[in-house]
Amino acid sequence: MNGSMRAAVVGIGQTAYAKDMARTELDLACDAIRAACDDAGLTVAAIDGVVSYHIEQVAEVDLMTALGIPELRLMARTPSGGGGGASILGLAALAVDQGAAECVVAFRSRNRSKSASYGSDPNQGGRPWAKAGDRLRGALQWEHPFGVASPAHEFALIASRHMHVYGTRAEHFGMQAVAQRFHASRNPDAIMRSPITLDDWRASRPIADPIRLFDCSLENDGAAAVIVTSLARARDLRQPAVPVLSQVQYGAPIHTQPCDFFATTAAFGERDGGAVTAGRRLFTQAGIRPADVDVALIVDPFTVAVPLALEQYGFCELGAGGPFIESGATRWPDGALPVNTHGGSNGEAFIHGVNHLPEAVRQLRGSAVNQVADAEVAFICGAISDPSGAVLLGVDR
Amino acid sequence: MSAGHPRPDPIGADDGRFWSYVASGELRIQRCVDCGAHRHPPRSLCAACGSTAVEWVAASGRGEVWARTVIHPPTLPAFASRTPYGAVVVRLEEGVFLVSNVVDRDPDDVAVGLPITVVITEVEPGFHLPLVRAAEDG
Repeated sequence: MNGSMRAAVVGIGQTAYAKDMARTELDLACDAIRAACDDAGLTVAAIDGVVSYHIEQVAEVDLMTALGIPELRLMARTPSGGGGGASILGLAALAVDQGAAECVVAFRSRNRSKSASYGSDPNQGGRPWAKAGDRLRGALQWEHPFGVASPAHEFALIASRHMHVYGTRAEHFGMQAVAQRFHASRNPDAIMRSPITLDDWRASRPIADPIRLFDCSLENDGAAAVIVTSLARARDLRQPAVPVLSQVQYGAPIHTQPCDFFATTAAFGERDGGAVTAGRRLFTQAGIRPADVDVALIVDPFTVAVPLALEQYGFCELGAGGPFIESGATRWPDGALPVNTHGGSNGEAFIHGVNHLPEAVRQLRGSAVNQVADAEVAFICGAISDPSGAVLLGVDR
Repeated sequence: MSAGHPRPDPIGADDGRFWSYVASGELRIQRCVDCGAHRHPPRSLCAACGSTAVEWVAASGRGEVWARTVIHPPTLPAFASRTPYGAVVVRLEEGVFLVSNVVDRDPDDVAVGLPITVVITEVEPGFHLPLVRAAEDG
């Protein structure tokens, strides 16, 4: 079950996740990458490729200088923030598979707390309205004059349409929030260690109907990284190789442009594109079906992203994501498809979804805190509301 | 906080033209001269046929609420004193989408599917926005 790609994840690394760590993005990235190298049994000098988000603050050349990487043969970035959560790994695997580089690190580093985040820096954390100023151009001019200004507002609009078309209930999002907080409660690396009940979720303050505080991703600092090399080389390294079975990307309007998003999305069954067609390619290339997946890591800026991703990637019918969650399917250990077993973005941490990558690898190594028994296939997808993508990982048998 | 209403400050001529029409009390959107497809937000060419021949036609102003929310703090400074307030995405008859606010309903009473009519509203002296009201309210 080694899929169609000759690439494997061999190292994972992450920093502590916390608020106000008072460290630069570069420092955090170096820690996560060095940890991933140590995990793999590689020196940083082995790295010859770097993949990150287009909004990443750490420049590739700064990593070279700081870490002592002698040569980079490949540098690439994916569009969007959380949309690229799986695609940075997918791009790294593509580069290795095609021979463009031999050892590629995919990473994301965030310093949500730095003072610049609340000022002039348009790409790194902070409140959207604190950065827009009075000059409403591009997408902002179609939203901000009407008081729509944050991802929470935009995801709330998306959620309302889903509820209207399919009968999804706000409690379905709450049930996923509860499941992820349970997962996080058992994860020593998670920021949120106390589990919540559905009543706790109901009592959490409304942010943008139907989204409540406990549906939201956390605001924190930290970094995470994974290292990809050829499957052949992976077999000589310290950890069991975790083969990349397949990867896909798709272009689609992002939630920050609601007029275009609603005109083209496949989320409500009116069109057939985006994640729906990408998902078919993903599974065809790997030669497996959604039912073969043992654990799913779904980038979740808000919990509503989970049912939408489950539907569009074919784990359930379009519109059935809410009842799927209600059935307990996404909850470890008894669910048929545990989702975000590390606690996800509302439980473990928000690293724009890149903290989901090490968790998928841990599950396939058998070393996860909330280990899915005999996990052999892991699915990872970026935020469903963006230009995005997905990756399937397997075990080397 | 008494921040002023966030105002568009567009760079592109097409965006500026849209807001100029709004300022004069009109909702106009782009229509492709060659294939007749409507588009919004404004763009320099038709995604359906590639034509750059464009006309600005008066929109019917009729449509429906496609998505809705009620926004609580924190939010834009100019909206902080209004929370909770409603926001919607509406789909116009022409097939284009607008973000807007419903002016004549409690936000909790705005449901997806509500028929609406666009009403160009002066929200601050000299500044107009395309807001909407429930169609059955006349």
